[in-house]
Amino acid sequence: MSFSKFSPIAKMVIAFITTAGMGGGVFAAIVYFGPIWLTTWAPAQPIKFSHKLHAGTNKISCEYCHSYARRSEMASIPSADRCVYCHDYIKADAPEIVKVMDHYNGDKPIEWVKVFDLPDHVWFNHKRHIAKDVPCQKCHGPVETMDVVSRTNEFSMGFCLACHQENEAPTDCWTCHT
Amino acid sequence: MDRRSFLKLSGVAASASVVGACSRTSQNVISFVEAPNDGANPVDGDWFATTCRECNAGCGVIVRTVNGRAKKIEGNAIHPISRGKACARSQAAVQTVYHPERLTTPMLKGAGGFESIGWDKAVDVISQRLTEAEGKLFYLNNGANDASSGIVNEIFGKMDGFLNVGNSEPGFESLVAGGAALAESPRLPFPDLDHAQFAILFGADIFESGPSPVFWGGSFGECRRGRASVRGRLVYAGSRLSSTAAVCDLWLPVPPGKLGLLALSVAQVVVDIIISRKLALTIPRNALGRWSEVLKDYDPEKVAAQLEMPAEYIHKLAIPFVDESPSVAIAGADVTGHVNGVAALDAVEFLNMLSYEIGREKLRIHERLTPEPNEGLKRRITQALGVDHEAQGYKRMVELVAGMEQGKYSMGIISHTNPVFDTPAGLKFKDAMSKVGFTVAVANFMDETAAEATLILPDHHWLEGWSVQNPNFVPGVPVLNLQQPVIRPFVDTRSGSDIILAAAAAAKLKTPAASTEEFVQGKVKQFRAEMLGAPAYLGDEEFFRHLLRNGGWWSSEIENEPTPTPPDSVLWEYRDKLKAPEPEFDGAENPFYLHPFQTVHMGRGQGANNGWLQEAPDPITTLMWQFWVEMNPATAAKLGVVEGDMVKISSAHGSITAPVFPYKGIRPDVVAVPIGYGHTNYGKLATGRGENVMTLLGAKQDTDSGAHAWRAQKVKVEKAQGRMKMLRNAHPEGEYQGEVFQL
Repeated sequence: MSFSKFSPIAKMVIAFITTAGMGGGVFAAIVYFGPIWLTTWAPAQPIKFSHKLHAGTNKISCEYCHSYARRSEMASIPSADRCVYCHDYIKADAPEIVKVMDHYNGDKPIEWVKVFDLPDHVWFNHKRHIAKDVPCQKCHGPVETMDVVSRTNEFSMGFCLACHQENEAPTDCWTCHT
Repeated sequence: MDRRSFLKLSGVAASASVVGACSRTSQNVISFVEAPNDGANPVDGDWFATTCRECNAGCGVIVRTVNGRAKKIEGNAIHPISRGKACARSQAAVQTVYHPERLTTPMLKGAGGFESIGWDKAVDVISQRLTEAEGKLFYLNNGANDASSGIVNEIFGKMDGFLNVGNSEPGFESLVAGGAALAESPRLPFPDLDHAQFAILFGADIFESGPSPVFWGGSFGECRRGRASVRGRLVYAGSRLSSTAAVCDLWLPVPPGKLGLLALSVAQVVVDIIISRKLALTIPRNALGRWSEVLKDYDPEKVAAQLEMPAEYIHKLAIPFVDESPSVAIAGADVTGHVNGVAALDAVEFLNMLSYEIGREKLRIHERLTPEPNEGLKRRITQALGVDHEAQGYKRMVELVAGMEQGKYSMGIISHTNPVFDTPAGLKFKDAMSKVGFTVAVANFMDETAAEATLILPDHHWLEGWSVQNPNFVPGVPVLNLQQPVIRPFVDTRSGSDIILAAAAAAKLKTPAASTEEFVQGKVKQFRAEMLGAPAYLGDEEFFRHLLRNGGWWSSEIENEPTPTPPDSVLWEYRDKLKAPEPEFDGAENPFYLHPFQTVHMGRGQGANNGWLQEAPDPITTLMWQFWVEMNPATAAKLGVVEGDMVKISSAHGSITAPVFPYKGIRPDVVAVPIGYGHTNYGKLATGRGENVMTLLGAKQDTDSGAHAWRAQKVKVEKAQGRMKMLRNAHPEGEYQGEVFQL
């Protein structure tokens, strides 16, 4: 059966349904697979810092570097001088560490690429979660196993709400959408 | 369509939708190189105490800084002047730090206008001129008594030909002169409203403008709600229902220039009551008799017609003045703005003196400073920072203009003030300034005065620099305010006083310090021994840091005693001061009294380039980003205008056009215009917005003090072409249009 045998109107209808169907299929694929695809977001960083080496092998506490997490809304990325405390003399000649020292000595801040981020309409407070002994890994995943940090959890509203509901934390709108 | 094209098309459509969903913008998070202040939290912010320099009230404030950016200004709760509050201009100051129009380089006027020069060149140019000037220079600021004035006065103060000038709040010198005979030393009268039960405000818009609006605002709160069983009562007498009057209990629309007459009439009844009730006061009886005799002419029955109110109203002010003691009388712009200002103030202070005698022990007058007022700590701090009350005010400005005209000055330094804009047309400041060979303007923004200068020095914002400040008003205890940088300079500015120090040193003049910071530390050290309550065991550096943490030094350890009764001889002679001379007006043949007024936001005009302040609705009219003229609805009807119609207001000195705002809270023979609009060179937000009411004013002065009589102008008002849509935030009669808020 040749396509050309159909009437012009019929042809248009079939063309439309097919296109819509294909578009819908693509869309469905993105929605279904997208979260997994998005959470494998592991951007390259200006310095090849390995959490696996520092937090995993050497068992350095998260809060040693991300020191404002328990005191503030924001966990904060450590300042360059935090690296220098150790690497002034530990493996000081390694190429990545030389890069850090160049930044420090040249007064140039390191421009890390954000891995974890929330949209502007959401307010998240680290201090309160740490006060409730929520482990960092709960949201950030097994960071101590990662050479390059990636997102293992999808930071969707459902993700936050599920834990809030489980642990009887407030679930009213103003808690996060303040 | 054939199959091939169809497949091509749908393929393109499909891939397009995928590509659209694919894109992701990456974001960076940039950490510090060195974490600031180990132990402090750079993420949530640190609070620093400093002093607000938007006006000269000297309010202590605290500033929250996050990541080295100033985010929020609040009042310093332990500061005796601000008492934890901060006004709109103070709060909006964070915007001016990051304002895109901030001056960033020194600019020297050449043949083709201003050109940017380097800092070293600026210092060279100034030092060259200083050498040539040989002391024949003037220093003009906004009346501030601070490190900058202190440094300049220490370098040049003793030179022949040097003049110190403060372009202060209008009426300043009248306030100091009025009732001065009853005080032990020159001071700004600050009656104790906090503890009063009844107050009469004589045209005193103290909660919105004047020497210390934040302090008065706090006093208002104390007066109303500070005591469990007493709610203070306030009456406002004046031509316009200002936002201060709006929070009082009664408004008496007294004709312009007649407030002194009202004060004397109230005094007549008060003296009568004292005599008839035989109240036991420290005042000698024969003085009372003398006053009663001269005040007979001011009996309410005799003056009620002039005051346009029933005589019993005057009794209704005088009786509570005695019965609801402690009571206070406060005078403001509607008194000082006329040629009979000092005479009227003499009457108001007379009322206060009577009140203190009646309510002895109940009131703590704030102007009481130290046990030895003439040689006291406050006076010595004032002298150390250079600008005493004689250098401040319009009379001194007139002297400066005359000097400039006569070529007395080779150069001038103008610091943080804009006289080309905010002085009356009659003073002719701009013309006089053009006759000075070399002027340096120390400023944050280009304004009308900086544009006329030869060299502009971009100063640090007050959030970025060092100073020490002696506030004009001291609430019963001496205060030495400290101003410290809470952030690093946002643009490449230098401290104006540092540049002056460098230039003076280069000109081989003797300088008090190498930097402003050093000067400030020196002043603290100089007065340290007298700073009661400050820990004596700290070394000098730690002591300085200790004061910085608080925002300065003040001490409630100094006894705040009740005002002493003036000596008998003073009371005896005071009879001669009890008179009410007629007001005089420029343009007396014109029908309307012009009532220029300061708004909380614009001040004298420096707030106009700040978007937050332009956006903040005026408390009375709720207008924003807007200039206007208020007139009584009856007046508007007579002129045939409605809200938004343009009218032309003119005097012999100039004319302006303004849109009408009909307002019930103003006398039908008065039109009110806000000050601070009509800039011609003050940035995008301010330039061309509205008109400058100062262009209508002549140069009439108070007969006694020489203060500018800025409410002594009468004008013509005529309907003009055009209309303007008024940008209002709400209906000025309130949400219920007068049903709740009754005028």
